[in-house]
Amino acid sequence: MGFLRYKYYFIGALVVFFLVFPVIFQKSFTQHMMILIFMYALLAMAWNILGGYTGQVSLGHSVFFGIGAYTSTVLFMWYGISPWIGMIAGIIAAVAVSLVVGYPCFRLKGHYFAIATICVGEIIHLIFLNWQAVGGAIGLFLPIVDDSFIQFQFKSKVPYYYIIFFMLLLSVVTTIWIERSRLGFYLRGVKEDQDAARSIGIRATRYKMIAMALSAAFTAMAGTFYAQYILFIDPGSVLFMMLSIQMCLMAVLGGTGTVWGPLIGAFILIPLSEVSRAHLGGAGQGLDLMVYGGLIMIMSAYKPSGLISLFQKKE
Amino acid sequence: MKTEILEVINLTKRFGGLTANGQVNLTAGEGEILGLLGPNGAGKTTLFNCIAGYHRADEGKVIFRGRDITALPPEEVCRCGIARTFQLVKVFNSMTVLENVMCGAFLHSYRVRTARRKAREVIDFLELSDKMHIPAENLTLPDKKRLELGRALALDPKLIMLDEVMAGLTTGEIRKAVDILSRICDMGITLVVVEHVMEAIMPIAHKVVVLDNGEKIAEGTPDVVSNDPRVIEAYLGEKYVAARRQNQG
Repeated sequence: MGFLRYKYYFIGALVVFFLVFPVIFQKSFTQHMMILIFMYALLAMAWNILGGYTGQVSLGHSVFFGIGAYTSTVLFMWYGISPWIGMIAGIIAAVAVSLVVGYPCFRLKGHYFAIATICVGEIIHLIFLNWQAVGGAIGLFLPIVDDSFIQFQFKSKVPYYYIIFFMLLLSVVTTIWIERSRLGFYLRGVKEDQDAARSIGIRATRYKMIAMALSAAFTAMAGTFYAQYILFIDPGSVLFMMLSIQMCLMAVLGGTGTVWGPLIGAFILIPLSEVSRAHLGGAGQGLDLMVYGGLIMIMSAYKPSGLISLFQKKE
Repeated sequence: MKTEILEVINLTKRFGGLTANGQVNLTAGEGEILGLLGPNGAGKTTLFNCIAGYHRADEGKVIFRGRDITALPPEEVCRCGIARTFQLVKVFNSMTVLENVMCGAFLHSYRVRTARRKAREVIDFLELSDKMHIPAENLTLPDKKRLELGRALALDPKLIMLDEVMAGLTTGEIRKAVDILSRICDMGITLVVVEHVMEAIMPIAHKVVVLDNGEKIAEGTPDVVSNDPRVIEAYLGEKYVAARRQNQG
């Protein structure tokens, strides 16, 4: 109970800490790691809206990430449009695709929905692999320009850090808003029992589409950020199925259907994979995945509702 | 004469070769309690699901307050003013009692505060106040059924369809449930009650319809129906006849 009373101070202190973090820790690797954690946390938060609150497990979310990354990059390379505007275009495109894909897929329930999303993810992956106009399998290198906020490019990591931090903050605020509004109640209703939800007038398909669209929007936002941060995208990095699975794993590890669960998941899994990759080099390639697998097995056996359940008050 | 709120006209539902409902006609008057009886497999729940939009009728029509609702999906049927409960209770397990009822109350208001106020009223009415913050999965079966009824009431429906609310309840709990139902009826809400427990529904029903093998075999006041030889044969059986004789003698 003490934890709950001090919750708001604790959150406030965390926000302040992360705001001054780049001033305290100036090592490039540390900042890079934090940026990655925030980006993946953003992805996990996005996935959680659909997979956690609405209970529709998608394993094709890399599609929206890829659309976000490709849309802003292509618009920038071909027409010189600012990636910020490209990001908005990417969000719109991702939402449009999510609705087109969602409508038929939401006729399926449970595992069949998950399988359908894997198929969609792989189809889009293959299309981009063979689409020469957008680089095909080689991918796209973003032209390097001078530091500029408008062009979304910086030499230093610090601006990236703050941008992704505020994007993450936006997703947290949105999730808290969802949780406390009618939308959140309805999404949880659909997750718990779709027949019962429909019996009390909830238009289940419509609400699933809303969740999917919100989820796709944040994922696409992260996609544009990734493109601008790494300055290179190819189907293997932004449309890779492992990315979709990672989003799901982080949320599941931390605790789905909660605001803080996906954040906890990202803060554990991403350092794990980055550190093992950095220290073991090529030899460590598969190691992070093995640790993931082990963690998921332990979690599903002992804490099926995620790490967050350690902090929740007992009923 | 009361006005008809619900009319089922020549409703037929087939599952492959099996006719679950054949040419069923029934009406429910505004503000009355209609009992829908019949032995297991008589087609009660099928008829119920056809009205509520979970099954699509093969033939026939369902008219609710003058509107044809035959082809509407469940959520739209609900929005017309028909609420329902399920034979196998379907509450939102991980939500508290209050949150469950709020989900219903949200039908008429976007605002959380309004929904919460409405939900509290309903919970008070059903005497569940002391369990308001308990997750629904921890409730007993009678409480879950009552919660499901509460979620339906929070929708402010014109008609509530109850699918075997009494099944699995003890005699005392049945008495309590019957009391609640008649109070809901006093509020002007029409009730269609599918019931297996005949004794429970007979005292409060204004009209009873009996189904057997998917067809309507009797209709009328509880008194008339329970004396109908076809009903006694099909459903009540010798046990009930003997019991009646004992009571009279």
